[in-house]
Amino acid sequence: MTETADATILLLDDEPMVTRSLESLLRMETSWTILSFNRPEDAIAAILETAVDAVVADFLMPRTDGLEFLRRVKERDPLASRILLTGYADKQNAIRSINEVGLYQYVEKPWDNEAMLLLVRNAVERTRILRRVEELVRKLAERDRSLESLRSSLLKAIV
Amino acid sequence: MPASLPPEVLAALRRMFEENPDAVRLVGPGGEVILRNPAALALPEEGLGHLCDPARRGGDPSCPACAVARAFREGAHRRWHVVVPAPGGGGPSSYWEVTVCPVPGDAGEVAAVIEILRDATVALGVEQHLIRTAESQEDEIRRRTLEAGKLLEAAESLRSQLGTLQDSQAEIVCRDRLVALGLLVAGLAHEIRTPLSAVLSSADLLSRQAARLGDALPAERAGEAARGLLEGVRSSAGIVAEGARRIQAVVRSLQVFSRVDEAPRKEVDLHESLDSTLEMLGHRLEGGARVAREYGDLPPVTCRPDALNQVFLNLLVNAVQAIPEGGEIRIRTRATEGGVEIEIADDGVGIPPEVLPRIFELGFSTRGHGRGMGIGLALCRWIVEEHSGKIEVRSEPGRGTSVVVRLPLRPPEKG
Repeated sequence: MTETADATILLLDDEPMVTRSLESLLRMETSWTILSFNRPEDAIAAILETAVDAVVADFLMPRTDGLEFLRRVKERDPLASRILLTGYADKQNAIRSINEVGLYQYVEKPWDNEAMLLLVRNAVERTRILRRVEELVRKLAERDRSLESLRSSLLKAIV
Repeated sequence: MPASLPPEVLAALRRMFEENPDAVRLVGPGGEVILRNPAALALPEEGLGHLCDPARRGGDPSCPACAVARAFREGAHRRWHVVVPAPGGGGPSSYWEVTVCPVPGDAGEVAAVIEILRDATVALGVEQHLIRTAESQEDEIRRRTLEAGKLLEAAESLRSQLGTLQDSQAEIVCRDRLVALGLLVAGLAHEIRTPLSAVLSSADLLSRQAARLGDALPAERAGEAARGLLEGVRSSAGIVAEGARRIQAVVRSLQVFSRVDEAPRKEVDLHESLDSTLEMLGHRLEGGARVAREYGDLPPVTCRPDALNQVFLNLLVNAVQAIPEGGEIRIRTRATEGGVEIEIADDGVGIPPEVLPRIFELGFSTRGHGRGMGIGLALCRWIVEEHSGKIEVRSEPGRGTSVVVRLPLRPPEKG
């Protein structure tokens, strides 16, 4: 893969079995940095320190801490792609979370490894493109500003 | 009377005449009483009407009811029954039996008439009493028979009510069990899903890792043993994956069962449902079962499609399992008044009659250990009834089984 040389993925599920499976898959098939957590507070501490490109989190029923965590991710870094992974095949919850938290995708357990890989790759790609767009916009604005200051100094020099 | 009769016979005749409790009179042609016995002397004076002493009335031939006069006219034996009103119109009437007997004269004319009057009031009373008693007994018997019939009817209706009650109690118990099971299953399914997803994912990872390892082993130095081991890992991973997929399928069907109330209703073309279910079954049909689709014109049906697909799947799987090689499954659909009918029939082994009534029971399975949980048909019935429909099974051992599902076009909304 050309684009995905370095990316950071955060996994959150209360079941270590799940985070370990996903982590093994991603480590084997990509060269990304994978951060796995089984408690939401640890994951929150991690996003405050490290920028992540994509997050895969479980609902963490029954307290839906998973949704709360995704909300925090959105606050911290709106461009990071958020994927909700759930054992509840429950469309109502899915719609609610997409509306409330703004999900990139909703995945039911059990997932298919190949589909999951594709999904996370796309998520990373999406985040990178959004980041580049943001970067370009920022640079454009900077150039705008320097052009503006150049113009005003020119004006001052002429007038 | 001939004079030659011995004196003792004459004496006996006289006694018979005098001691007779019935009134006996010998009346001459002019109505005059020639002879009368003591009982005739004791006849009531009043109210006898035509029992009157003809002498007293002068033998008036104009009295049409006069028996004596008629005997003179007709010259024949007669017996009359006469009701005599009580004197003065009050009290009970009396009832008389009047016998007239003409006595021929020398020239064959009626020389005199013997008249015998017997008060039959008491006898009649007894007779009428007997008749009344008999009638009332008959009435009583009829009444009792009727009552017994009613009692029998009541007993029969009670018995059938009891049966209905027992049925509905069994139904309620069954429903309660299903509801409890539904909740249990929803929880279980979720509990199973998470570890199952890890198992599925890891089995896939194992295969991938084995493949990579195989690629990484330098071909010239990789011993046969290492290659064999890798092959073993790959095969084990395949078994784990297959097992996990089967568990996943069970969990899915259990979840349909537990979520039957939650899924949204849609208008659905049931032919599409049947076709997609058949497609899902594709690999199981490869054994050679023919499928004949006899689809009628079906209007769209408002239902929970996932749940109904599960019903069709279960019925089709049962049909596939029932037929020997080369058997046929027939799917027939037709529109009925306000609903639709879907029949899934096979020409397989059939269901023994002693088992047939139990096949919808939860936990009842005819399959061997490990092949069925006895949930399939209970689930079907649960889903169909939840759609306000009916499911019926007919089967004949050796001839096949037919399951008919009847559904209304729009099940009434609940709650």
